[in-house]
Amino acid sequence: MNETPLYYPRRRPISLTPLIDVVFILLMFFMLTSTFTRWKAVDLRLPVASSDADPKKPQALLLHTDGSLLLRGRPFQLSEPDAKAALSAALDPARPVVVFPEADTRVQTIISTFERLTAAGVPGAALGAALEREAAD
Amino acid sequence: MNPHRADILLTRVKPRRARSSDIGVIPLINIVLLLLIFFLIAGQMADRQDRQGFQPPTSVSNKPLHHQPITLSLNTHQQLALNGEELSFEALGPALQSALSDDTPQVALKIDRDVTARTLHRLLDVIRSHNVATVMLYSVNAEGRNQP
Repeated sequence: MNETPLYYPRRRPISLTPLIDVVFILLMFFMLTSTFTRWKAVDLRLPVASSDADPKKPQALLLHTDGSLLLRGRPFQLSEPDAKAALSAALDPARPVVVFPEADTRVQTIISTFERLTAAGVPGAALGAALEREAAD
Repeated sequence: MNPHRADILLTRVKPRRARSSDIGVIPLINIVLLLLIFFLIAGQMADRQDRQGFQPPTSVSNKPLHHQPITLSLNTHQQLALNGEELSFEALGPALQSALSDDTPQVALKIDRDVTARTLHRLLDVIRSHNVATVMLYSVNAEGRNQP
């Protein structure tokens, strides 16, 4: 016998409170599992042995822990307004530049120095060995 | 209508309960607590990396850096990791040798900004001995993060 049902269960509308609960939990889940850091690459060149028959002699720059440079025995700040002119006068653009940091120099200082060197017209400088204080003096 | 069926319908209709005054308090507390947790978590998101003991250096670079097959991490405690697995400086050479099987070796370094040049040089010496001439440093754009 085919009887019609006694009553149809009424579909209840979704209550607002559990809906907000679920939305917040989902939001927190995605916030915790996401990565917000947008990484940027900084290329760092390392001085390697050259296979050239006549390699050009590199020019050395000493980097102090405070971010100042020693260029041909003269202390030098890259933040100086005439930094670009002073560097172009002191450095030969045909020869590679190697920056030797003091052993206690922070990575942040090294990166900032390389970026300032690039901005001052000395791109492609390489990072040399870390020098202990006695050697740097 | 069938009298039996009418009886059933009548029994199913329940009298509506009187609304209690505190019926909405529990969901209210629920949402307030969720909001509290939300803001607690959101407030700590900025310091998330600091809590993990890693502070990336800042730069003005806009070159995007995606995941690299060989990533070396180094923090201020001189804890070294190759692709997330901790190892010692002595074990780095052989591990790097097996990892650098590709013809164009590309090594990315995730180094804390307070690591000294002494420690960095120790690491770069090993990398350079495997004929890697350029490494990529992980950094965050200075505009997106306050300079220390």
